[in-house]
Amino acid sequence: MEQGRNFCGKIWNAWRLINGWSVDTKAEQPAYALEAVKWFDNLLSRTITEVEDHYGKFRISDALMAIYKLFWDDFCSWYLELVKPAFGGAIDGITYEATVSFFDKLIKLIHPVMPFITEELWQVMEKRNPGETIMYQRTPAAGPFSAEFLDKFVLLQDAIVNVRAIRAQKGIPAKQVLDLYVADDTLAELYPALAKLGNVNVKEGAAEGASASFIVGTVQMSVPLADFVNVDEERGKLEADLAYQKKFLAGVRGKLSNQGFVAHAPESVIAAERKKEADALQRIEALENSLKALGL
Amino acid sequence: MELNAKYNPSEVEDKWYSYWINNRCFHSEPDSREPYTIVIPPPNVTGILHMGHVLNNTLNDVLIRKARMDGKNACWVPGTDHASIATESKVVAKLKGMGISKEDITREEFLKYAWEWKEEHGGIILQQLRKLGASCDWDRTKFTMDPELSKAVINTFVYFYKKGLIYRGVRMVNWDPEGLTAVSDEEVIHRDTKSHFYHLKYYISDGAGNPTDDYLVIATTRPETIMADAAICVNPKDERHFRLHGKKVLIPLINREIPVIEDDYVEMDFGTGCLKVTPAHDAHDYEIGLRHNLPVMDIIDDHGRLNEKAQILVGQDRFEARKNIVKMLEESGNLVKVEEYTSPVGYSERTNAVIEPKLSAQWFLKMEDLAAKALESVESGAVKLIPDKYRNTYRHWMENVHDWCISRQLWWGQQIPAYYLPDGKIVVESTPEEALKAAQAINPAYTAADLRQDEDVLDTWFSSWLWPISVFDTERPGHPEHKPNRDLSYYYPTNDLVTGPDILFFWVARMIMAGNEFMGDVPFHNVYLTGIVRDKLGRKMSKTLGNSPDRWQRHLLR
Repeated sequence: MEQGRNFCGKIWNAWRLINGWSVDTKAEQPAYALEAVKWFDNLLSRTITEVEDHYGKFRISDALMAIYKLFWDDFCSWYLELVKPAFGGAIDGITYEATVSFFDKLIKLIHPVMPFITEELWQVMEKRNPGETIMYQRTPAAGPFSAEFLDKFVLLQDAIVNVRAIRAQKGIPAKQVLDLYVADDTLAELYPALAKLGNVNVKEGAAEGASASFIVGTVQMSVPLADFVNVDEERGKLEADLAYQKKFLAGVRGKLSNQGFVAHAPESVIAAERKKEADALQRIEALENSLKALGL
Repeated sequence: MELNAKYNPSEVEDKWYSYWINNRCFHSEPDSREPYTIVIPPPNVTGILHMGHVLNNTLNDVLIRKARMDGKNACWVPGTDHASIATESKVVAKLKGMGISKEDITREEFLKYAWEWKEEHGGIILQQLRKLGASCDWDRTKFTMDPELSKAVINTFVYFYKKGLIYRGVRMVNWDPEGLTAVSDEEVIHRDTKSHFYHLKYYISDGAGNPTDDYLVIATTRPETIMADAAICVNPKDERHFRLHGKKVLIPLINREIPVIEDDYVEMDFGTGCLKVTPAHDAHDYEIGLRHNLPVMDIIDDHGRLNEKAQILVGQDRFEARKNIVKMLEESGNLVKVEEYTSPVGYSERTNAVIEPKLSAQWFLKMEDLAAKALESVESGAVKLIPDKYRNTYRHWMENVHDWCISRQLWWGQQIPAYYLPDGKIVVESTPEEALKAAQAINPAYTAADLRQDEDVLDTWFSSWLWPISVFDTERPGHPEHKPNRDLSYYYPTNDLVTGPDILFFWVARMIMAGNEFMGDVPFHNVYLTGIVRDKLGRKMSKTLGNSPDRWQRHLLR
């Protein structure tokens, strides 16, 4: 029941936020906003597809959970965070229209579950004719979506979570711009979004000197922390992680050199072990680089 | 447009619900679109919403609203059920509160009170559903005792009777001495109860009604029924009792002679190997009595009290009598010992009274063929049960179905259209006029005064099993040859049914039977069985227990 009340509040406040923005139709759409819209559009389509599948199999609570998560986590915590204009600023017309369109689709998805609040909001979003109701609007349809692109955005989210963790650990305020080094260009198309959400300058390469690093998927990232870091502490963490990865690698290699295993295991299992080996090697290399960066 | 800083549910909900009603957003009529139909599990007219209703109807509303937005012609038919036993007991209680006993008033007067009750309470549960936002087509609201729906029930009875599937039988039924009616096997809850085995001496008679020194020992949990014993039964192969073959024994305290009979039913390795046979008070004994042509003596009245045939302890409640007779048997030297013993005892689901097996004239519907077809409906996938695990329960019930006892000794409900003639014959017709015609075909001299209609009413489920048909077309039940009206053609079969697994047999299976019989097609394609909402003590949350939440924060519940 608590969930119900909070969800109502969340939906209500989301609209109040969007509705309260100033819109500058002449402003250009920033790159990060373009990316944000593309991401949410893809995610919406994939979620609608999943929801339809759940409904079709009478997994009603699974359908509701997917919609809830889409709104609460993805739309409110990520999308709105990404596109919202700076304090006192205005949002461009294109992003604004896209946002309203998303909101409209979301409340239509939510309507069967929460009929009252969604009707109220649908009615205030635009001037409606007498007798019109959200009840008779069409369920939003899924468009095409790219699983690959969505996976990339997940990496971005991981990266942001890591950056926020570093800030929290080192006591670095959100307002403080940081440099974020990215070892390869896997996430190149999302740099503007990465920069905005993390409040970072994205650079390619590896941070020099004392720095904090982390791995997102297989992409090594690092944040130089010359003024913030405790070298000893940092080295301790890296060395522990390195030791773990080496042990892990030994285990995987042990399996792969076992005649019995290789002879009898199915192809897919062996391939999975090989991938683990490759990933571990990459991580070890990245850790050794980070230790070097600390001046070890 | 400026919104309030905080969302105010009650304001918003009332405003929009009225808007939807005024704009007839929930109403549906047949058209060219694909229909999506749900019939509500009609809640009992007796009380208020409980969590089970809330859960089921929230799900119904989600499905209906989604279907509407998918572009289908969505129709959710609401209504209530007259709930014979439950409502009658509520009305009787209300009358008692007013100082009126049901025994002192006529049937017509009682029904007047009952209909008043229905008017007062029947609306409440539906109003509560509106508060939840339920998008039911209120124009189509039905009540199982609306005249046309009642007519459909009557026609159904006549149909099955003429088909030879309804019969009147004297049977052991599950008698509820508090509810004062028979209840079906499914309405009896068995609970392990502490009882006692009383070992009693029955002296062997000398042939002239006098006791010899020899005796046999029987063990019984119901010593208060010995006055109704018809025989003592032993297994013919039991060596311990060869000497008893052909002898007579004396019932203690009243000294009536009864024969010793032989039957394989008696187990040789359980207890004394001697079984007292009391045909009127035990279902198994009744069967033995039929096999051996034993006389049937009924010593317990409708209220569970001993009647004059008992000779002793007359007028006493059966459990009182049990206490007293044990004392008497002790004094007379017939009590050998008392053993403690736990066994399952049947209790009435509604009143919790201990069920008294009773010989009674009741109406029954043969279920074998109906069940076989209903089983096929699920096995073939025509009806899907979700979750799938319920298929096994369903199959077990359909393969082990008993004939359905459909008569109830109550006034609130559809009165059975059977008319008794002076010569004992029965005519079954839909109206008194048709009954008279049928009677006159037997004897032209008969007038309306010669016909006496059966006093009993039909089991509530005998009307609810017609629900998916009768909410659209009340002419069809009992008349499968009748052309379906526009609504029935369009909306039937319905799509999904959301209900609790506790009524999978009572209601869901029977609706499938009625659908097969009168429509040649299943009533719904998918049955979604929701969990029963359990309160902290794990008891089913139900109106009878009175633990419904009485104030709702509506928006919180969704």
